[in-house]
Amino acid sequence: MELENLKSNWKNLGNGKKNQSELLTMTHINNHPRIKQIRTKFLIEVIFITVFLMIYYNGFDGETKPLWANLFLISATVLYIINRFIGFMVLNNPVSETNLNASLHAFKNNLQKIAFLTVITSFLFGIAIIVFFSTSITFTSGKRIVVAGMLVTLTVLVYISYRNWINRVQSIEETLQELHETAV
Amino acid sequence: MEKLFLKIIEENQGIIYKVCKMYRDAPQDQEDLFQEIVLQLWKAFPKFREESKVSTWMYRIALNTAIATFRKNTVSLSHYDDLPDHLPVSTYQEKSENEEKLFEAIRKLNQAERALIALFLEDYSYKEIAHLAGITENNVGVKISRIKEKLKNILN
Repeated sequence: MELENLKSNWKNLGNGKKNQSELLTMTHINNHPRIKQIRTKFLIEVIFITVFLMIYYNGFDGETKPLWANLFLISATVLYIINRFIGFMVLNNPVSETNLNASLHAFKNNLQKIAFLTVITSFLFGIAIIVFFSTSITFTSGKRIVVAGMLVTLTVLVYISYRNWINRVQSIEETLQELHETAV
Repeated sequence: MEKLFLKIIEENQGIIYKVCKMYRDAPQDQEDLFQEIVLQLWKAFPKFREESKVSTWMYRIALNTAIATFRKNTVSLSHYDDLPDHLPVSTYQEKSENEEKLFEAIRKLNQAERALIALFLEDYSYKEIAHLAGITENNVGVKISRIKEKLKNILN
């Protein structure tokens, strides 16, 4: 297969495979497996967290905890949800600028910000829950070990989430380097 | 607006098809990416002012979407569609095999190289490719030469 022949055949590849009706269904988010999956996961998370916020005060004796612990839990939860929402929007809107290089740069910068904010908000959310349930408890060495275990688990989970975002950033960074390198 | 959008996409769907074949191995992943690209085009359509060609606009968004949603180390199980009954098997099969060989070869290039070779094969000038990619014309020239050499070695 000669490279020169490729150009003449290239323009005709793939035409006429889908009709307008099929294309129309693709303009609806509900028909997109990846976006739908991310959105469903996000919605389930938000619903659970919202229900938790609504019932925690009565369900987990919020009135017996210090006010600061309640406020810390509520604000950390709200920040967590806002960050997840922003992350969702960033992932689903990768195209911004007028050329490939600028658009990928902008996307990469957004991903980096989200990675950083995810670490902060996830950690705060986890700490807020641990602190809330730990206040008004008389600590024994056994309970201290349990709390230490929870902190380690939280750190590991936050790290895994951070790595997922950074992997995305690195993938984009690699492509940007490939676009710009000219050295042999 | 919807009718115009669908007409444009239907007439130029070959661009989306080619980008999907270049950036994804498995047919199901190609189909998912196709949908993703159509959705991104639909979102961007209200801002499309026809300052550039339709094909340029579509390539920019399609390539951007393919690269932004790329994930490494996915296991792919590829399979070929059944051949239609009404065409001579040998003609269709030969065309289909050559097409698949080409895309397999392109998938051996890195992400940026795939984008550049697609634009080159689409007959864009180096200046147009540079403008679309956001790199210098000189850079495009150097890269296209190297990519052509690479592709020749892969295909031979």
